[in-house]
Amino acid sequence: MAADVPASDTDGTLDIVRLAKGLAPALLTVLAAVYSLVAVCRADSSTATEAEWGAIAESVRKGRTPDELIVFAPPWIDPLGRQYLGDQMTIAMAARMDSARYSGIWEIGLNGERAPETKGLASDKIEHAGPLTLRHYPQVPAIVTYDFTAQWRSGKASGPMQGRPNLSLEEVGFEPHQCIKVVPRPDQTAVVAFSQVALGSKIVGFVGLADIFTRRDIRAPGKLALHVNGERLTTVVAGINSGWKRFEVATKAGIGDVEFHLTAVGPKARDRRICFAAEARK
Amino acid sequence: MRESWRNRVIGILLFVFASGLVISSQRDQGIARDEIVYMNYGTRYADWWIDLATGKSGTTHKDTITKHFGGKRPTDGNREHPPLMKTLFGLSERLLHDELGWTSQTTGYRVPTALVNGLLVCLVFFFVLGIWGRTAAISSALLVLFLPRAFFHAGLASFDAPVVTFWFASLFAYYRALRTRWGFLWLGLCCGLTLATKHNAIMLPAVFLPHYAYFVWRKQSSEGPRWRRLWDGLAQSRPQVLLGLFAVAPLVLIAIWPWLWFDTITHLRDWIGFHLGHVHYNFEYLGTNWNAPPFPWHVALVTTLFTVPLATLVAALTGFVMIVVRFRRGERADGDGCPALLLFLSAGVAMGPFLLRTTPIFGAEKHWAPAIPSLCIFAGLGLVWMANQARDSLIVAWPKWHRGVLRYGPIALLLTTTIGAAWSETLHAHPYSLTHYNALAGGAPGGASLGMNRQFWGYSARGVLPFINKFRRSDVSVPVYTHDASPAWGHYKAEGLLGDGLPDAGHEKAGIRKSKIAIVVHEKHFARHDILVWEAYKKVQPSFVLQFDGVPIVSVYVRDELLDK
Repeated sequence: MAADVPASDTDGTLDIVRLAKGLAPALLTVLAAVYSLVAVCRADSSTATEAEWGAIAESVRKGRTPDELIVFAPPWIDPLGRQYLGDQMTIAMAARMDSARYSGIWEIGLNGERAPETKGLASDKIEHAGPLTLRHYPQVPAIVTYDFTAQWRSGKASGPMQGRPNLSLEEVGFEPHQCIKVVPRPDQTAVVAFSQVALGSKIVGFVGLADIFTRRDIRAPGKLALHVNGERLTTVVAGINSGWKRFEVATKAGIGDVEFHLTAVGPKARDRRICFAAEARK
Repeated sequence: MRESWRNRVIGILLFVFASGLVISSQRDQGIARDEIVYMNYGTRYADWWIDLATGKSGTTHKDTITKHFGGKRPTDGNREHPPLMKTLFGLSERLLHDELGWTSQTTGYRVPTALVNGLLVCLVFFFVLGIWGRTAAISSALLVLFLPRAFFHAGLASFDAPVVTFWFASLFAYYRALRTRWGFLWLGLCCGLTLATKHNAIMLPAVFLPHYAYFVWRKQSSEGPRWRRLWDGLAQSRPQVLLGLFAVAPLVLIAIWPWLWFDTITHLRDWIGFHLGHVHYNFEYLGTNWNAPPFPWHVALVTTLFTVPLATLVAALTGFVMIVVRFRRGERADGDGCPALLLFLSAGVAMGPFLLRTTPIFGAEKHWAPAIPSLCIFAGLGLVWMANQARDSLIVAWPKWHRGVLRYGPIALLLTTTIGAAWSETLHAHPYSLTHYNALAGGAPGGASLGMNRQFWGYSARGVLPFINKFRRSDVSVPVYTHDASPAWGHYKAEGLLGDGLPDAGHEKAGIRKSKIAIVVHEKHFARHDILVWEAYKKVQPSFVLQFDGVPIVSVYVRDELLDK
């Protein structure tokens, strides 16, 4: 396994290129090893300490008003965030439909990470504690004219379904969401109708399939069709991998009737747990 | 000391070091769910063998065998997995814990895996030694030992580390069988032991048959008609290896597995059929939860890229390229028995099914682990080749430098840094190695951000036991929702890791409702358990979060009534 080419010419001058060629693989490997060693040694430095989390939590407690949201980035630090700030968070906040109705967002990011909820917003406060960054984003909250989820008992259910629609805390797309859960019979459509709804300029909602194990075992999708005053405005297909899927339709302000038509698509769609949440907004 | 004796001493030292390190380290590892199953059946199998050895009447009766090893349903008697390691777990626990009292019960069950892993390190040393020399042999052996994931599996009473050893032993035996008359018996024995360890052994012929065909083709004579030349090649290629593979190996399997002593074909069909139709567990890979085919074709490659220490990967790639280049130049890169081809085929066959997109991917690296020795051997070869290249370049460039420094400096630097990096990564990752990812992935946080699986089988729950113990009450029981650690709970108590008065509250919603403390093991598909606990405890705040390098792995929720006291 000798080198193919000598690193110095016959006249004795050093051939740098040939020398580099001979040393390069070894140096690359040593470099990779050193990089790994440094990564192991520095593993703790990218981790927030208890004191750093404590400092950030204290700032949030001092500055936050009850109608403000707390989010964490990247998402996998969420359990740690809730350990330090869970006393400031309700189940409704953690299982929210979206972030629009909050008047401000407190974002705690690790190593510069940002949460999708704050995209497009400008922060008015920034604070650092080790690898953690706290940012506060004021926002104009959405004005809700009718919260279908909160008013779920007002909805009149009809059509073939398992049990009755109910307000439920569910895992949808591996996230917690408070939603109205409806389980239509296979290949059937169930309807949840709300009458005399105070409509604004739009209806915003989300739909998805609850429960990872039924999503694994039953692959057929669910479908939501939104009817306002008898007219179908949108149809959303909720597949096993589509998560918490947003929909939005424009409406005419005033009083109207709204129906959510929920279909378990296909004869194999048994126990298709369709979950949705929606708000009429000004 | 004669050279052969020196090598034997090195081999023995490697075995002792590797086994001892794993036995000592596994004490910090939590108990994985599947281990409990294997431990329980291991005890049952060991009882049967002890009955047989002591001449208890009726032991070999069909009903007695069925009671110990089988049953009507597909998982009765844990008959979906062959018995070799389970039997060793049971015998080891009986000896080391029950009889001698040398180890804890869990360690007693786990010692066979650690010893078998030590054997792998030793076998890699001797295999490489005979072909590529001592430096490559020591390097390869140590790189096999210092792999964070493999080191973790070597500490479990499970089959994933042992099947690597027996798979590799089969390669070694096959390689030797090509040169010796009776070597096919060793080949049959090793393949039989592999079959008796884990079902992926049935792929071994896919390693040996192409290699053997190439070997025969190379041995064929240069004259006469083609059939005659090939016949000569076959005659010179120890055709009895086929006998070892297809006759001796199945007999060894049957001898070890009493369940196959009757209705053999049916029981074999049931065993393999179970794995061909295996349920798809949930598994996170690159941010997506996978539980149904088609799976991404690159799972085995990317996971290997992110879990094997970076310098080992670079060295392996270099070693592999070096072999290929030399082969293309027509140089004898790997000796007469084509061992490099054998290693390449071994890795390819071990990983191959995962390229098909239909093979379940849960378990990740442990399912294609037999590929790993090949990778480490290529790494060892790569290190030696790079050191030689560097040495020769330095000697030519600076001929007046101290010869000793030039000769030994590069290899010393390469071995120290590469093996040192692998060692440090392995020790750092322990005992949460399934959460660990290499520097290329960005460590554990990088792995979490990439959406790579963080753990499985609830083993990491052991790390929250000290916190839970703080809530013991002398006057009242404090039930714990133990989530994925449920099967291990009794063992933790028996080992003294968990105090009295902290019973398992039960499963799912009923268990959570009854519990005062709840743990949630963080895997993507376990998000629902957080939600169930929030609903019951009326809060989202865990009291403690176990983390590895800042990545949450287990959350512990405590009811307010306990916190207020």
